[in-house]
Amino acid sequence: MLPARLALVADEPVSDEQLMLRYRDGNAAAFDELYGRHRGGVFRYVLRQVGLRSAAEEVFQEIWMNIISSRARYRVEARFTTFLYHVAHNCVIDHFRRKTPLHLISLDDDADEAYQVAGPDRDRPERAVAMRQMAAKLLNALALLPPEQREVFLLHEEGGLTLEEIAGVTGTGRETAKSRLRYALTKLREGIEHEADVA
Amino acid sequence: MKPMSPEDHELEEASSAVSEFYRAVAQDEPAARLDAAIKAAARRDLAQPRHRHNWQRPASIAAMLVLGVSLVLVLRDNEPPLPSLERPTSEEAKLAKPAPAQLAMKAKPDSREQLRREDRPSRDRSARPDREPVARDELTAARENEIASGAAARSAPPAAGSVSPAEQQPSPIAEFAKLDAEKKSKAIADADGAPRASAKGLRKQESGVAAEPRTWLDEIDVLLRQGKEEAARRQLLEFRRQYPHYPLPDRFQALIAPAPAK
Repeated sequence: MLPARLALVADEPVSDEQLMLRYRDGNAAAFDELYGRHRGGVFRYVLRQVGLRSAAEEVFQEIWMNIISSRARYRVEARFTTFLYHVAHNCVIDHFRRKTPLHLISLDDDADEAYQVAGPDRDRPERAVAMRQMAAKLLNALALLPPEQREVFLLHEEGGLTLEEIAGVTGTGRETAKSRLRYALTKLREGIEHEADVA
Repeated sequence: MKPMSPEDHELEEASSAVSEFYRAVAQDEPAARLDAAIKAAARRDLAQPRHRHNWQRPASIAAMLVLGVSLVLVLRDNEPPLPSLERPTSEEAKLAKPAPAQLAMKAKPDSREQLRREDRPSRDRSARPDREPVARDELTAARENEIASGAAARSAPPAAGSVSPAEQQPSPIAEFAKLDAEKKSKAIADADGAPRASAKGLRKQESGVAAEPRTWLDEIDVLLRQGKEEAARRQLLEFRRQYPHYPLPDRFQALIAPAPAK
């Protein structure tokens, strides 16, 4: 059997569950790998719901602290992603219980930081401006979604969860999750198409 | 895996169009200092020994044991008395069979109180396993019935027009029991003036238990058999003084008979 460190650098990708088990058994590098895979998705999942970056960072840290502290009890009962977003879902709910209602992302606040668009289009100023405006509209439409629809969309988009997994995380049925996702996608597409037509 | 329905396909297409655009614009990442802090926390957690919860299991076992033992002790101390011992006296009298008149001899004035004392639930009941509750109940009923008939025979005056079986057939023993009760009450009332009884008789009187003539005579008989004739004679004289009308056997009468004049 290969040592854990060697296995990490092997060609065959190691599953999230394997990485978490290795971390449970004392392999710190496995955690780094796992964290690297999910840090962006979890952060955006939190940021789109919480709204403010500072609050999102606080919740994000809390999520990973929960993952770290559950290391010794970890058993592979489902996909690690499901487990991770379940923890994230609970932390976001706790945040809203502690704090005042949701802060919507304002187009005026942190616009430069939040809506940067990567890619070669950045080099074309007029195109970049149009993209920025479309991105702003999309994110604005996302922020204006009902919280349940927004969460379902983010779990699907950032976590890559299936409808069954989304239903499990949010504590609803599959059909409810599907319905919410459909509504969310419809509204977001309308927002993009409207912006494209205008452009 | 479940096959996708046309509805799910439609959903996937809608999702992919939005998803492509969303991925292009959503590039937010956590700050590097946050990454470093979380990774450091993960390493700190690995470095910490996991012995901090080891005391919980033995502590919980010990607590359970202490709780269980205390509960058993408390329950044992607060055990209610046996229901058969708490039966009211009237019910007992109803259930008890009529006792023969001869049992009146064995009646004692304070026997009822003594019986009640005996029948109270005791903490060391387990030390007397031979005493079955049901047997005790029957014994108690029988003894209390004896007491009731004895007391009725001795103290209660007969109602006008009613004749008790004891009066119909007066026996010397029942008559003697009546005299005995009178004598005892007199002795208690005039303790100072009365001559001292024998040590055993006095002890019995002090303890509130009546001297039983038959028992006393048996003891005198024992003394005679042991060859202690003088002691037996003294006891017999005392007995005669206490119970002047009690019929004595011939051999006892010969012992205390005055010597013929020469």
